[in-house]
Parts: sequence; C-alpha cells; structure tokens
Amino acid sequence: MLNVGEKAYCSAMNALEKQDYEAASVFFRLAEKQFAGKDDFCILQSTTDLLLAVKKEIATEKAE
Amino acid sequence: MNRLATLKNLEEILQQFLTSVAKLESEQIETLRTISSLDDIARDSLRGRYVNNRLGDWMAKNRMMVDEGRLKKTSISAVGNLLSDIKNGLDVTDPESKKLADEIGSWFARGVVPGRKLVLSRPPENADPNLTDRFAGLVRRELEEIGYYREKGDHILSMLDDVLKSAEAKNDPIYLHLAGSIIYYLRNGGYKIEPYVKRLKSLEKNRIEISNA
Repeated sequence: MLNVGEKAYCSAMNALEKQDYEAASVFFRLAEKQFAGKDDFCILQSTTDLLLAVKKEIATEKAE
Repeated sequence: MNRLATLKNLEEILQQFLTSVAKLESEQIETLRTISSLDDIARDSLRGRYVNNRLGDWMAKNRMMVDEGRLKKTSISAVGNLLSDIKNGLDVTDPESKKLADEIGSWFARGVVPGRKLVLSRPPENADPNLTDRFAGLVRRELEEIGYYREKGDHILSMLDDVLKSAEAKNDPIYLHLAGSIIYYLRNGGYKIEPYVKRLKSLEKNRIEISNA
C-alpha cells in the first residue's frame, strides 16, 4: 500500500496538472515529510505556494 | 510598471513554469495516477469490498504499460506490492477471483514483482537499545495515518473501523497500537467502545496464536 506521503504526492501532481493550485499546495504539505529533501519536490512546492501568495496579493490589490 | 502589473507578470511566469512542468511530467503523472488508482483498489480490497470488476478493468487498461516497458523500476515495485496485497485478499475458491489471481501471477511472471525486502519473522536476539526511537517512529507513522483520515474528513469512529480492518488484514503492529490508542481516547471521552474493544481483543488473540504457531 502506498503510504500517506506517496499518496499525497500523487494527488498533488494530479492537482498541478489540473491547475488546481490550492489543492496541490495542501497535498504537497502532506507529502513534505517524505519528500522534503528532494530538490524537484521543494521547487514545485515553493513555486505553488508562491503562486498562491501572488494570487492572494493580486486579489487584495484589486479590492483596494 | 505599477505593483499590480508586476504581480500579474509574476503570476503568469509562475503559472507558466508549473504548467510546463506538468506537461513535461505528464507521463510520470499518468503513471502516478495509475498506481494511485490501484492503491485505492487495494485499500478497498483490504476493507473487504468487492473489487474484482475494478481490478479486472485496471489490469486490462494497463497491461500495455508493462508490455511496452513504460514503467520505471520503482513503479514496477509499487505495482508489484499492490498486486501482491490484493492477491493475498482474493478468495481463490471463487472462479472469478481465481482467474484474477492467475492474471496477477502472470504479471509477476512478466517482471512486475513486489519490491519488498525480506522481513525476518523473529525479533533480534539482543535487546534493542533504540526502543525509544522505534516508539517515536511508530507514533510518527500513526500521525501520518491519522493525517490521511483527517484530510478525507472521516469521523474518528470511521477511522477506527478502518484501522481495525487494516489490523486484521495486515501483519503490521502499527494498526493494533493505533486502534488501542483511539479506543482509550474514546473511552476517556465517554464513547461506547465495547464492540471495538471486542474486535481489538480478538485480533490481538489471533496475532498471538499465529506468532506461537
């Protein structure tokens, strides 16, 4: 059986493909314990989180 | 360029990067999806659900992936492990299940074999000096399991039911320990836990009988 981290990584990549970045971020966080040392994983997780932060910032800017 | 325009530029660049990665890795993502769906089937099989149709469909759909050598070594091991878990749960007295078990056997023969290491059935002779570390490791794995159910939004009683089913199907002490912890927690919260205690005791008894056999 896949462990929680592996399962979460599958779901994160799936969400990334569907451009569902909120879901991808949640699943990356679930998988991070297992994959934290891997560069590819860190880049994807950080980029996803940064993109979400930028989107949030844009929404704030527009609201002001 | 104003702040909003800069942010939008950055958004576009980041999104393009992630989209490109997803495109580049589309084959790997497809493989992950395939393995994850087999994992879902294996989990349902462990819970005693009928999986023959889904398993048959999965095997028919993915046979080519093996024949064309599109699976990496790690993926082959993962698929092999999952098929092995499923095969162990099939009732081979049923002709349909027997056919699926034979089909799994033919996948093994084609190189899709479980990648597990040999597990010693006896504990080491010497006392383990790192018992605390091992306990910490067990609790960490339990936390990961709990995280999985929390993510799914399952009620604690559904989680306990699943954990007990896993304890029944798998020879892994984590499930008995986790079930015991949940039951103790629920008992302190005043929940009715007798049916679960009964199941846990019966599983524990079976485990002792098997290990003494």
